[in-house]
Amino acid sequence: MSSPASLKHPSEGAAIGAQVAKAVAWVSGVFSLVACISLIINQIQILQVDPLHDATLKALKAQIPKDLNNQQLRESVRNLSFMTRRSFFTNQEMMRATGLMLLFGVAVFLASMKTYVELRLKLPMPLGQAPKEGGTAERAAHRWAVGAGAGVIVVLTLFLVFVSPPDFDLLATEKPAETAAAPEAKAPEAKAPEAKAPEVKAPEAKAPEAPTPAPGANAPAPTATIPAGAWPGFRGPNGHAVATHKNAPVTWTPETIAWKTPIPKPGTNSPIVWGDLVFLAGADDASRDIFAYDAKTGAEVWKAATTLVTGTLPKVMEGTTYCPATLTTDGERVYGVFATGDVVAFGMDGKKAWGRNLGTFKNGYGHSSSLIMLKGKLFVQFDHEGGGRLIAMEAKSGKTVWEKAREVKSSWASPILIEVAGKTQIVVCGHPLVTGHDPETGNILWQHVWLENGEVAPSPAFAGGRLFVGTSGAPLVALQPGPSDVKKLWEYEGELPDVSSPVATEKYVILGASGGTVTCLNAATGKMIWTHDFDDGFYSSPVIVDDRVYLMDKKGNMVVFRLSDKYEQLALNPLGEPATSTPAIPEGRIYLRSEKNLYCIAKDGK
Amino acid sequence: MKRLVAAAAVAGFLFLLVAGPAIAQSADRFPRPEFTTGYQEPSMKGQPGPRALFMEWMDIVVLIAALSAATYYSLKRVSRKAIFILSVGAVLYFGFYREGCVCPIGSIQNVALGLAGTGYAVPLGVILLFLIPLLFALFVGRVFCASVCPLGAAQEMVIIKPIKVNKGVKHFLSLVPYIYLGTGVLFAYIGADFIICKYDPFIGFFRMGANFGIFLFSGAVLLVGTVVARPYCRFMCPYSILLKWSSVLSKWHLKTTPTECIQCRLCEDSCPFDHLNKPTVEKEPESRSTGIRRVAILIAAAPVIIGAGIGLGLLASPVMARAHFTVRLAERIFLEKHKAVEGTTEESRAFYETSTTYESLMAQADRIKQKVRNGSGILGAFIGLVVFCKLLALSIRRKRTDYEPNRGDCYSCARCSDACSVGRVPGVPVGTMRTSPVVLKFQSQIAQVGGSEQSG
Repeated sequence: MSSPASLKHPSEGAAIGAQVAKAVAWVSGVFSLVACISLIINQIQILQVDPLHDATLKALKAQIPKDLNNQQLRESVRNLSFMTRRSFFTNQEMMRATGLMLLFGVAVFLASMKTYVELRLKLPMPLGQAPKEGGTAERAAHRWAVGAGAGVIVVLTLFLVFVSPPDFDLLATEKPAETAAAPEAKAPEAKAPEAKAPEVKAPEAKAPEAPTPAPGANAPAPTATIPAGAWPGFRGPNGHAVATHKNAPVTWTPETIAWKTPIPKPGTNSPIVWGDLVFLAGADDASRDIFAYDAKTGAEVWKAATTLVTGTLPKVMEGTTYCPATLTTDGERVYGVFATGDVVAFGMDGKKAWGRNLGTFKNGYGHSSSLIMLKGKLFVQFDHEGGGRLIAMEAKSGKTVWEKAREVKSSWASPILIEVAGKTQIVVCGHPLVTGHDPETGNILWQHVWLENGEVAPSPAFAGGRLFVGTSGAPLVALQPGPSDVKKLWEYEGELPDVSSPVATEKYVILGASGGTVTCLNAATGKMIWTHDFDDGFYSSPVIVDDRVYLMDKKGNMVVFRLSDKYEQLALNPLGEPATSTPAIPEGRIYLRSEKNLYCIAKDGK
Repeated sequence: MKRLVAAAAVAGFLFLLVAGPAIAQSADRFPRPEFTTGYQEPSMKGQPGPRALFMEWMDIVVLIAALSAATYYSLKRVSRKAIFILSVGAVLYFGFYREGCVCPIGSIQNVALGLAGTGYAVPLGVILLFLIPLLFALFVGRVFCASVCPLGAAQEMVIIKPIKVNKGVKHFLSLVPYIYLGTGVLFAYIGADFIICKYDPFIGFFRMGANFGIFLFSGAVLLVGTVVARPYCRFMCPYSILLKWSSVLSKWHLKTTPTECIQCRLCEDSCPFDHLNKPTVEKEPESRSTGIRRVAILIAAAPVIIGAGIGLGLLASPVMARAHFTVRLAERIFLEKHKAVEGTTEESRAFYETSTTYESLMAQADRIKQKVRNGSGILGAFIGLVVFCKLLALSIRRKRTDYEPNRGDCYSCARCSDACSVGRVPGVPVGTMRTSPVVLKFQSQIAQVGGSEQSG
């Protein structure tokens, strides 16, 4: 066998090796080709044998309802189904085996071919002039090539656009004129929960005694069909923190405390009251519980545990607990939301009505936006790092009535209900938007960007047609919401709360900051009327009863002061233990949650 | 020194840009709740399962070790045999054992999704997989491509008889990786799909199972790869763009010849990828002023080219948006609601069974479409900019007297330096001729040819 001198490996052994490699390459190549063809045939067979859509099987199955007693037919269906599935999986197994053989064959083919090529590789023999590149003509040709590539991209893109269906304006039905007919928004096949007519079981409303409304907007919220003896949610009726009565103890002593009962599990939510029951939530790793106490004696009436989410629970900041959000009730059920994403409802007797999980709230502290209700709907503000949502659920079933996506970041504030031009709006305060929604459809009626940087935990305040939103690090903004628009009235830059929510009347805005400063502003102008410094700061939110403001500091001292043009302290009632929750003040009583106990103050100590 | 400083600055910037937000997000992230329903997940062939933390770090260690070895054997020892063995190792470890996931190429999408602010926290291991090859490229060139990338290594295995691809064709196809990169990032950013992984032509082989269409595509790529060396790396790979940008700054990039090129031309055809630049022509027929005028016109046309890209991107955005499932579903529901289509689909029926409202779905889809619109505009601008830069680069005359690897494109496979006759033989001082019989034979042939030319 000759061995040409121009080869890289010119030995005779190399020449023999090349011949062997060539032969192996032929054999393995043919083997691979056969395996490849077999693989393709197998794939075609698999495409034909679809156990889910087999025509014969479908036809047989269709006969069963017509001949229910035909056992032979049933047996045939079972057998055919079994065979079809077995055939499908056998083919898959064969494909896998064939694939492995193909891989092996290709590996051998490549190795032998590479060996053959290497052994037959000729030595480089550069002859003539060395080639040069980068000449004018060459560069011009390459520019044309790039241009042609770009041209092909343009043509392909235009072709794609041309053959694709046109772009749809998906929000066409969202126009205000059309949303009036919102009940028909779903497709006919849709099994969407129907937007139920109002079903307010609460006794007749007792409108709060409020100052004369400002033109074009009303301070009181007639939507609050709440009895005076009830405190149905965070900051009372409509979330305004303004009692609808005038009767509440001002001063108390240990002797005037009606009862005190320990709370079995930690929580930073506030108590709520309906009829003879006081509710609050406590949570730990084992379960998230709702407790019902007898409003007159403090005895535990029932306890209901929620364990929709088990295993590893989301992390929450120490001290926030899994239940900073306050419960709400409509007198038929009591509703709760936890940092695990569980939303639950229990009857007034403690029986579970429904429960659902909205997914993990992704924020740094844990979810704290409290629930609020209106006309058979439960509203959940779900603003977190995964995107914001406002969800309206049917109170009796928990089904979503509507859901609105919100372009916001995390928020810890709670929604409130306001009345504008005779219609109720739900106001949701987030980062960076504060928005007014139609409670029936969820449509955004107006929105205002109020926060550039910072975190929002204080809930809005509303009175006299003015809405107040603010948090530490950003100015307090007074807005005048209209039926479909909003107007900014003024801004106040001073020491603002970062947890405690403001409270307002037509004349005043009261702020209790975490540093211990209480500020009273003129609601019409935003000018400061007075400030007063306390030793301890405030996480609890102020509540107005008649002309008095009740505000509890972090150490559990409840200061009562008068709503007036100068600071006038009426009482300072020490609880004797730290407290961060907001008091519930139904007519004649005050319910306070401290770190470990629930208190009821039923009469004035004067 | 300037190159080193630039590389270090780029490395620092890259780390801050990619790892900073991702790590910050990791810190804020909640662990997902575990739902103990008693349901057992069936074992599914498709994606590799979650990996123990220790093994994730093991992958990083293996990657660094492989890159270091590749650097040593490419730049220092110039050993093609060792590089080939490393390639086999990469195919076995990162390919068949790790089933091709996560690879630095696919990690582009994880990083893009992590930067999208959706709450997705990119695992630190994935960030490192993404960054480490780029950092190596910044300092020593694309040694990752040489023998560590399982995709490149698999293609390396199948090269049999490589042919030269016409340079015009090469420039014609050179925009494809940029489009693939941009589209991959955009789709990951909007949460639509990980197309770079979905259309990875080798993952089917590594996992021994793939969609039949992908299988055919993979077969075709490998078949073409027998004669067109590394077609995926050269004309598709999106990660190659990032490596290229890093590699151009590399201080210690592979050199064909360790000292002075003696113009022996033995390396001339050694690179099957056409990444070895040849000496340039000495005299241009075109005057200098004509060249300057062309560059000026091109710079003036830059806004038009980029603007056209933006326009095209915006035009294509509705089509791009349909890559997202929510948009497709919303359009289907929209059409069903308006009776523009007959019947329902499995997806639409599933939607009707949920408690999500029509308005909510439409709002969600509209937000995604808005995001895609912005992203498509940026993608169009990016492609326009790439076209402009390419045209500009091809309009500027460069001078080269020696054979040099193209710093950006070169895979550091050491074929050219292996072919170089200037001393790299262990024990022989650099600057002296090689003493191996093969090289000596080459030299004698050259001498003969040179002698006959002179006498002729």
